[in-house]
Amino acid sequence: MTDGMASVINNPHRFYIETPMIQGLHDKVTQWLWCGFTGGLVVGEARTGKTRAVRALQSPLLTRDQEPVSVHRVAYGLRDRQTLRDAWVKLAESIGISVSPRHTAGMLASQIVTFLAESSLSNRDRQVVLFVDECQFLTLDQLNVFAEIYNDLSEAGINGVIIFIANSIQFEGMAKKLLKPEYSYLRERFFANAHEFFGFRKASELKSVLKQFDAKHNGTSMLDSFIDTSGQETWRLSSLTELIWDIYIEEYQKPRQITSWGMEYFYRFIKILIQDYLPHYDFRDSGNCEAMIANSLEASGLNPTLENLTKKYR
Amino acid sequence: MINSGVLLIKPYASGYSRLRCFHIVNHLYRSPQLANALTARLREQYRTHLPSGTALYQAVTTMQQEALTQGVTTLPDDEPLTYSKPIKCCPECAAIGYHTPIFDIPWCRFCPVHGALLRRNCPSCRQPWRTLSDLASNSCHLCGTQIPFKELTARGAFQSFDYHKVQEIFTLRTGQQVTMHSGLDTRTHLDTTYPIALNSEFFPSLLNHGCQNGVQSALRASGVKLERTLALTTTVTPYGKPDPSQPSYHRLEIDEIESAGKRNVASRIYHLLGKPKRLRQIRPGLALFDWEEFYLLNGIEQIAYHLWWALVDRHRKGYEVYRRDPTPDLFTRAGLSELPAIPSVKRLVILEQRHIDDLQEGVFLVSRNFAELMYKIELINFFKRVWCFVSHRQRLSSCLSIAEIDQYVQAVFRSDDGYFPTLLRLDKHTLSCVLIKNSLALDIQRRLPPQ
Repeated sequence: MTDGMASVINNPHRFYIETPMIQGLHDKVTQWLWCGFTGGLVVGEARTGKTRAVRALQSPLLTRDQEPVSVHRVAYGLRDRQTLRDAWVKLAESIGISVSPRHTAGMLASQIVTFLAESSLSNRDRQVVLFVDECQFLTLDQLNVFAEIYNDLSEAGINGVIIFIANSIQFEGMAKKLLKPEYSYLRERFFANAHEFFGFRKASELKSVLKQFDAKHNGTSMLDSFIDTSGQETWRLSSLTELIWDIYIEEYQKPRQITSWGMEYFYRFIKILIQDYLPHYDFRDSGNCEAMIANSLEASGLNPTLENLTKKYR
Repeated sequence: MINSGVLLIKPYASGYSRLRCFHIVNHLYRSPQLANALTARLREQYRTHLPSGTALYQAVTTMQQEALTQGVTTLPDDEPLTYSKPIKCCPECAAIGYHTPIFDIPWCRFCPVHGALLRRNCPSCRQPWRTLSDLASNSCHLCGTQIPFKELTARGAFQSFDYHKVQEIFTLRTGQQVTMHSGLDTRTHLDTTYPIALNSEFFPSLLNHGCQNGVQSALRASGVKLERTLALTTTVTPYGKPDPSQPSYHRLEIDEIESAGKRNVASRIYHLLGKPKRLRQIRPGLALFDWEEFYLLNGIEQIAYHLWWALVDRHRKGYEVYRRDPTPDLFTRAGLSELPAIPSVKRLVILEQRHIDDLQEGVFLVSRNFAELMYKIELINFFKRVWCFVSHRQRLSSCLSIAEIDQYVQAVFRSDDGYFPTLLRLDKHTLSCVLIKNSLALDIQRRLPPQ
């Protein structure tokens, strides 16, 4: 195993693999951009990889004329006191504006909007995208911050696209409130479109990801960094797709009624499988493979320990 | 993150304007922070030695590019920032952070965009317009830097111009039809390869003269007479350096003429001239261009013209005005055909070199609308060539065709590339043109050719 690849796969922030779900989100956001929507909502369950997918989106978004669109991202958290200024401050800090206590919300707003407006100069359609991650932690009043940004940008002839990302379960309460008529100005601006983000839901999705481990670049694949396939050049990690999927379905998805296999769990699963099991056991034997996959799935945390504990004490 | 201010920059804005915009969009940063950020990049002291606008903004843009996924655009070349003196500015332009070097031309007294009198003091805080050194610390809402983005947009800083009018101007200038494409936007004017600024950022001063639905209609609606919006100024200055604070300095402006009423104009001017003290002090300069010779003027413009020549005639003893009429001869010999295409041109008046030497200031430009202004700009351009013809008559006499004359004139003026003169100023030794060239305005000072 090469040190370079090990350091990549051991650091979840550096390890990135293109998934059909990320591609789907990319297509959806591009569609919103090209169709002139002013915003959207991306919801998904916890640990499905929404934030990761959004980070992956930042560079390749293009306009219809194939000009780059600047993408900015802000992530919110829950606070004791949720004021409008807090929302501005967090946004300012996320784009690199140093904030001091003397700065008012109005001052920050002006600076932030100018920044976004300048960012839009990278394309002739004057589009700029702002992702608001963990938006379920915002109050409805704080959403007005983004309405103001959108309005100010519009005054300057700039098309701001503000996309909110939320945990589907936690966002439910806010969604119900947004349906009220008094919040129609927010709903129609930003929440007219929604995209549901999932983990793996089909074997084919899993296979497309596993294929990337087998794909050879300059004669070597990512898998070659971890296991020795000499004499078994035809062996592919993707050949295990059916086996992995069957075990996942039988042991986890059906009993626990999991909607999708989150990327966080998959990442841990694949890390354990190719780092700890495949190099040390005979992966040519199907029985071994099944055991390795089952153990890796279990170790990946799909079956939460906390839940088992609570059952035990009940 | 430091914003570059590129969004607020209008074409042909001065370095002062750019720096002000820069401060406006970074008003959260205290001046030392900004200075340090810039100094680190420019390796120069921000306050004491300002680099040229280009270098400054390239530095800022580079800083911006590092932070953005995709960089912002580059900026056009501009004059170096050398403003240590108080500036003149239009209050309405100041409200959107705009200033152009044209305001600093001595005889330019009205904002060509808004028609407002150019002031040396801010009407809000009554202080002189801030110089670069104290720009950052100024919080006046009109001349300062803390203008919220929302207010700027509300003031129409992003208002676009009429593209068809630009097309018309281009056609008038070049005789070519241009096709508009969809990519006309703020960024296009930053593209130096574009032949003329066919975008919303075209020089507003000129455009608004021809903009039927723009400034003129707004002024009409507000009851302001249109004549006041035009660059109609009759200036009488003493010899030597004009100094408005001196009592001998006197200007006759269209405002005064209007307030006096048409019937009383003649008596008013003669009354002014009849005062002995003033007679001694007022020494009018020369009229370089006698527009009435080219144009049939109407109404207020005719009055202004008559006033001008009344002054000149009255003081003819002090100098000599060369008013012979060599035009037909010149035209015949040069084979020139431009002027006859202008219907109202009657004849040319040519001044000799010694008159130009005497001229301190006083280009008399009267326009009713933009097309007329453009014709006169063409005439100024033409005049330059005619003057050159007169000065170099001996050598030009060997030229047989207009092409040869052109070639000679171009060589004399060292101007072999196309340019678009908008304003012309003559003083004792220097011919200074504000040119629009490849969508940029360049202030080029050209030495007159040696005699």
